[in-house]
Amino acid sequence: MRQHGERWFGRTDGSVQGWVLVVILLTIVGGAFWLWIGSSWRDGTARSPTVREDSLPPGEEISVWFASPQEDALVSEQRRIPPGAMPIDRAKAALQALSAGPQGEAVRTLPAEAKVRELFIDGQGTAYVDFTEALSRNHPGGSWSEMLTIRSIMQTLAANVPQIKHVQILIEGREADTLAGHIDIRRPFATTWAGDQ
Amino acid sequence: MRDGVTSQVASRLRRWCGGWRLTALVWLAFGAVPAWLAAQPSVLGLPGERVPIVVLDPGHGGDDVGVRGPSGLLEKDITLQIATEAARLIEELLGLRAVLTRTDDSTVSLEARAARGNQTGGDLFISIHIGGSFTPTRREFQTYYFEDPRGWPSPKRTETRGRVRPVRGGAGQVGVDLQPQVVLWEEAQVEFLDASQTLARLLYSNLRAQFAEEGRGVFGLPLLGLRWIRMPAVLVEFGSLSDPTFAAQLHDEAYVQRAALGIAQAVNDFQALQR
Repeated sequence: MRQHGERWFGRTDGSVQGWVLVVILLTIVGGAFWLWIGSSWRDGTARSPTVREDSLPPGEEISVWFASPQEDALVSEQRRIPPGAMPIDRAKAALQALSAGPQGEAVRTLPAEAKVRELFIDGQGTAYVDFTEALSRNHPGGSWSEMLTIRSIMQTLAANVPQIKHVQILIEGREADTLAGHIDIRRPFATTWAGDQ
Repeated sequence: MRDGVTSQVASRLRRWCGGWRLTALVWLAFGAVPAWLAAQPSVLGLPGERVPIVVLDPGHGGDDVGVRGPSGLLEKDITLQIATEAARLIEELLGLRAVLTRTDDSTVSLEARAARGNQTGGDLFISIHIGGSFTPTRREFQTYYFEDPRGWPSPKRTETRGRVRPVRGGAGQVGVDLQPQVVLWEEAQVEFLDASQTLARLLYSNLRAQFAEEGRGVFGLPLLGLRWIRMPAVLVEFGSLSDPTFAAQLHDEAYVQRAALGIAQAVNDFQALQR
């Protein structure tokens, strides 16, 4: 005869085992769902192109500017970031997506290895964007490509954070002469600079 | 009596000219003075006889390889080939003097290139480059002149006119009509913006004729390598070395020859406009 009053975890009752199984299953399913949602938010881009727009998690849309397939203009792609992001977080997320590269036919303008180390916006609307050395070291070079890189950074920042009026590019915390030997980046550019487009 | 005086003068002259004095006279007569006059022709007041100097700047070099093509072709090697051939054509066909900012595979900074160009007292500066891209996209040639959307550090300097010397890497300091003001190194190109744009358009049209194809265009960009140049200055970028089709063309000497000929013809056209 089975005695009552035993410690509950020592019981071998079939109904208890069933409840434990249900809890474990719910934990696994819930955890997987949380991870899926979390990954979508983290990079702002992780949704598969096959996912319908109305099934996307809610959030703010940002535009990321790449080079057109003929590299004769800038074209935008849309990404989503968590709602309520501060301007500096929007700027960082936008540049992170720019570095990650396009998902369509557009052409990347930043090396995939280039990361934003820090970003600061001063009271006059100048954004100081500090990139890792990969922006310069892994750049393919050429005046035209450098122009596309600089303009895509400025356009991406201006489109998503209107308070940014000028952009100063830094490499590893310092002002650089050029990205790859051509365009003078020692001073900030106005985001309205149309280059030669 | 007369013979005595003559012999005395001759004797004194022989004594005076002996030794180091004779050597110095010969050196002055046949070495230093002609060399100095050649270097400073404007001192003679004969500007018409001065041979114009074209400075050709082969982009990159040494540790700075520039764009690396898919087959290992390097921008620095192609730019040197084109510049060397263009220099030969400019001297042989046009009778002008060509000076290269580098003649071998050495590392030369942008600042040093500008200084060399300015110090030669050059009349034209042409920087030669090959483009690059993140993709193998085809890209047509382009020519550039200096244009900075951010303006100049001191706007009033744009009103500066007259032949004056840059602070660093300046042109010859003797013989030019020096003004009391100086040109800042950062603003050396200010005086030549219009002429540079004209040269860029001439270079573009001549390359278009040589390659029998449309280029991408003539553009103004804040190119650091042109900012410090104290003469009409342009940069040409031939195609994209990341494009395998274009890279294959560069193995053909005909491409280099056409590029060099286009540059030489543009120099000739520009000279004709200046007359």
